[in-house]
Amino acid sequence: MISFFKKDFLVHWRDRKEIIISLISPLVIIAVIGIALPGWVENPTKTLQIKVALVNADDEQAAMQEFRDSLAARSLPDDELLDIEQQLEQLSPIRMLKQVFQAEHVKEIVSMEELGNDDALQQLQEERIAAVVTIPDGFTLAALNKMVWNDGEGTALRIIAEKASLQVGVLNDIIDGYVQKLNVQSAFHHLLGADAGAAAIASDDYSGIGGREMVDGVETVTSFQYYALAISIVFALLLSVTMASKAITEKRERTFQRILLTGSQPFHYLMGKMSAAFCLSILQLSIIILISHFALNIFPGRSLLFWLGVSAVLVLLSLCVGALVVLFTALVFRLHDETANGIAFIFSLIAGTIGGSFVPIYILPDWLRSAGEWTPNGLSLAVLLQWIQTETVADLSVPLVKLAVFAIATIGLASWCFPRRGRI
Amino acid sequence: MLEAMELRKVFKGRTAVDDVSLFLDQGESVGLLGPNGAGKSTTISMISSLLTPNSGDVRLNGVSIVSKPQFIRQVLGVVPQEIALYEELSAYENLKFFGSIYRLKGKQLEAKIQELLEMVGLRDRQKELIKTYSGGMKRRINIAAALLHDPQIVIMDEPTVGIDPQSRNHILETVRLLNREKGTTVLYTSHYMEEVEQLCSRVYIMDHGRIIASGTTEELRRILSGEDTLLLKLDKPNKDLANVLRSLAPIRHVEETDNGLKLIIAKHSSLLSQIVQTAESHQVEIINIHVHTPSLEDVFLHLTGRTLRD
Repeated sequence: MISFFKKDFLVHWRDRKEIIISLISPLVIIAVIGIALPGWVENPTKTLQIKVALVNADDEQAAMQEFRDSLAARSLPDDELLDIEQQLEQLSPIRMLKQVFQAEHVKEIVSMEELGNDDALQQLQEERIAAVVTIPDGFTLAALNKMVWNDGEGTALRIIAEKASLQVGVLNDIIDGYVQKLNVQSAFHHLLGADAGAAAIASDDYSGIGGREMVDGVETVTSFQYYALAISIVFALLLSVTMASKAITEKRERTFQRILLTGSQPFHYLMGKMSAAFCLSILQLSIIILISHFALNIFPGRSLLFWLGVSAVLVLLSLCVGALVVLFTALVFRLHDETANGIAFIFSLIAGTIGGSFVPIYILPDWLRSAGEWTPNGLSLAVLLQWIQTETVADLSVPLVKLAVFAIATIGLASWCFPRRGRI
Repeated sequence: MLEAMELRKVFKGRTAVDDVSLFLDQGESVGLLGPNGAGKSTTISMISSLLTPNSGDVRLNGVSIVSKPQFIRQVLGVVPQEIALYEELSAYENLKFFGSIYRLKGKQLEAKIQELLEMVGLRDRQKELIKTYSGGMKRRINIAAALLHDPQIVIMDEPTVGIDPQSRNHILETVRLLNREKGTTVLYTSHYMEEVEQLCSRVYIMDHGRIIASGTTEELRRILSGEDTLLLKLDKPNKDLANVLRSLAPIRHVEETDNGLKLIIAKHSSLLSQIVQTAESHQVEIINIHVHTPSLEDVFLHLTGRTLRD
């Protein structure tokens, strides 16, 4: 098996193109993304900032007066009429909307300015602002009728944007949050009575809209740390595809058949690939992370325990990379070259995406983040991020066992996939 | 020593090899001739135990290697048509790798590597990577890699395809050396007739997956004993002349060559004056006429109606 290991190690190591791709590219990408998107991981709202104009086409005073006039026509008892009159002082849908935009966490993202309609549209066209939020005529009256009497369908705010973007999507979500709050108010009003509903909506608690949670006593993950780990991990994953593709040459040039004729077992051939991939992966991950660390001071002042924890995860990840090389190699001998290569590439692409190697896992939906932790790269990244923050040894044990199980199961699957004698 | 009996191999409904039987006696050099796609490589794969036949058997000294492939792998060296080497490794590293998986070790392995590098004339360049070698040099190392374990039988699948004359001569010399001086049994496949005629005492001719003729080169040439081959050198090509000659009854085959025509005619037919007259009537001058001794190429042409390189 040592002969196979030496052969596979040298064949990959002497492929200058592959070495440049697997060592130089990740370092360049880490530096470029780290510089281009500083603080994205620490403060993701920075990149979501948006300038918005608020156009108020409604006459709130007139709407209030009209609503008061309508009360007279309803022949309500005097005490109930007095209650509603008092609550009307607090029930101002437009003020409530402005309060949403003045909340600290929303202000980090949305910079809002009140403008006239024409001026707002002009600025939108000149791309000085990204969107216009319009309060339509009749908004207050319709909202009050819905909130107090549950009459009609209420009314909607309008968002105008020149083009769809992540930022406009976030703005849309904020407005949705506001509308939901109005709906909650309306529901409270009808279920619990006017006082409870008014109290609920009059509160200034808009923390549910945007913002982030901070936990005391925990280290935060910096962008450079995230990119260094995510990118080195995805390149380790890609190593499995490139190493397995060497088997295509061995199959086409009948080198593998020559190996079989020596009486060698396919198992030794596969284990040679696995051990070479394991060592190359360890080497690649170590070089990228250490160079990133020394060049960009990524993990300053970290303890020996920290580095041991990182090493343990990378060793298990490399074992998984080796196992994937064995699986993809087995597929090369089982299927057509292009099919096998395509499967390996698609697996890496999907695993890389849901494992958080291409975009920060923080912005992925929960279900996708959970799915990502079933991939070796996703699990490794998640556990390393956790390790950076807490350095709790107990947090490492289960993920390490999971990575070992993944590697063993993958080798088992590869052995099952590998064609029997006379079928290659 | 080695016997293939009624081998048949079908790939996805297409019969690649059909009812192929052949044998190799110890120390023999046997040729397997046929054009591309004739089924030679598939036959070799079955003989070398890499491919399981759909039916038939391969026996080495009476033992079936279909069920016991390890019997032949110990004594067989195969030189595939492809350059089955690692381009990123040097010649020395390639031989060391294959030698070590043949379980050769230490001084024995080192001595064998140097002996083979000497034999293929590349000892001075053993440290250079295979990817820097010419096609002919790669083929020479390809042969050396099959000889590391001193095989009793060597199968060579078109070992001289696409190489320079110097390397080709070197390879042919190596095969002669193996067979005549070391007593190695050789099965040599090629579509170069002259190589097989030079190297092999017996020949099998394959076409469309079947053996269509076999015997010593003399026996095969005798197939054409009832025919003569005339080579006409003409001053200019003329398709009409070839067509008219094809219609003459004693002429069995007309083939256009680079500078004239090749005719296969019934022996002792007095056609010469008729051929000259026909050429004159087409205003074509015959520069010379050569009566050619039949070669295996002619035998193949006779048997299949096409040339080996078709």
